[in-house]
Amino acid sequence: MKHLDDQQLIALYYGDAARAEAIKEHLCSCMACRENFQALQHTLAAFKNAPIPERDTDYGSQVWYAISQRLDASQRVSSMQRVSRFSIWRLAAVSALAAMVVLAFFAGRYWPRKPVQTAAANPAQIRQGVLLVAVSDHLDHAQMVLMELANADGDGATNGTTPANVNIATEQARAQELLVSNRLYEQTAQQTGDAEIQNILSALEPVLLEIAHSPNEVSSQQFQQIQDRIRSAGILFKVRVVSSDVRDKERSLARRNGQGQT
Amino acid sequence: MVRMDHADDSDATQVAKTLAGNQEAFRPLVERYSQRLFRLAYRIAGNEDDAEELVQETFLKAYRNLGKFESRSNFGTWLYRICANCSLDQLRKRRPEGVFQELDDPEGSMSQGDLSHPSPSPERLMFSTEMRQEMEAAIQQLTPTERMAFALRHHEGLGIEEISEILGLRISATKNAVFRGVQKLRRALAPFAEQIR
Repeated sequence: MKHLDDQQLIALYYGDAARAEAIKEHLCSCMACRENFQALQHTLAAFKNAPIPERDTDYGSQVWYAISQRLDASQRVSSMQRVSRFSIWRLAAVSALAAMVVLAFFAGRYWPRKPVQTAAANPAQIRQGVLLVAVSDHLDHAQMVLMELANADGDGATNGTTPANVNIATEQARAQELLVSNRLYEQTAQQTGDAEIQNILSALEPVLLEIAHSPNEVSSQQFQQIQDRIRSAGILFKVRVVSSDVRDKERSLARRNGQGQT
Repeated sequence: MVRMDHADDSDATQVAKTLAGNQEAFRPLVERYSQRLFRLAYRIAGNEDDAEELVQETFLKAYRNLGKFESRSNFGTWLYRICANCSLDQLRKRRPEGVFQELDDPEGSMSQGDLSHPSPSPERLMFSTEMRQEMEAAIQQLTPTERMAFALRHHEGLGIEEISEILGLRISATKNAVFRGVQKLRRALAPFAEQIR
């Protein structure tokens, strides 16, 4: 075996060497490589021992104090509304989108019409397209939350241990966000006269409401009730069906617009 | 993801509570990881002020991006990744452009023979404080990626896979970064070999 190169020695030092046994055997029999490896060990040991300035034991609290001031200034999460910081952006986006749809609705109603219009320029189709895209995304998110809850293992009493609480804080936060957008889309669908979308959003609201208003941690029994509620209402199936319909409508509308432009 | 938690203070639970609007729930995470992050940040930045700034910046970014944290992941690793990005940004900002050309060459095809270090005088060799300065100077010669990879491997004892995840590099590139870092340090300290023994 020829002499070991630096890469092999460094890999050996960190326990990453592919053929560690062969390398060690070589080290036993080759003084030059052994000395090279010892020199590497000494150098790396010197770096290991390089001092790091000590922090106080309450350094973590100091850091918290320092950053919480900055969080307070710009990023405090509203505990009253129990909406995560990200949902603020989401809320803003949803509100803007809803405003666009409503604007498009009234613009379509009152804007003076030209004698000839292409399908792409039709405000009714524009507002329908905007609503379909937004609702499709909304239903996908709702479906994910419902599926995670419906399919989760809520039985904490495995192996004879005490039943554990189930932490649904993440789903709860997402349900709270969805609840806000759900109401906005429902109102918009009502204004645009899309009954199918309005009905599914109307059916979704009490389920989201129940999840959003549950405590962060629920007992296994309470969790089972939430799951039963999701299953008995058949809401997951309905959401899937409408979501599929909405996507079909989206595609159909896009095709019509494409044809209208040609 | 729904999680079954027996321990209220687990990282994932605190993250979920924070996301649900309880800002105070972020505090235990800050208290738990501050010391570790400081050690890493100090090794990267090389001075206390910058390291403290990095720690705070890391937590602020973590808080802002908490919604992107996947509860199945390790929160500590995620924090390291943020700290790594903050550190790299800081190092790049503070060094003139062009110094870290090798950043664009994570696979290590760059020449490794450009590490000439002036030989110290005998007087300098006598003082361990100066020895420490030489070691710090050697660390400063590493690119940000090499420095981070070395700190995570050598001081934090993380495995190559975890480091590659933190740095966003391929496994081979991560191994190369560690290797090149160690090789540079060895060369830089070669004149002090006798003193180190």
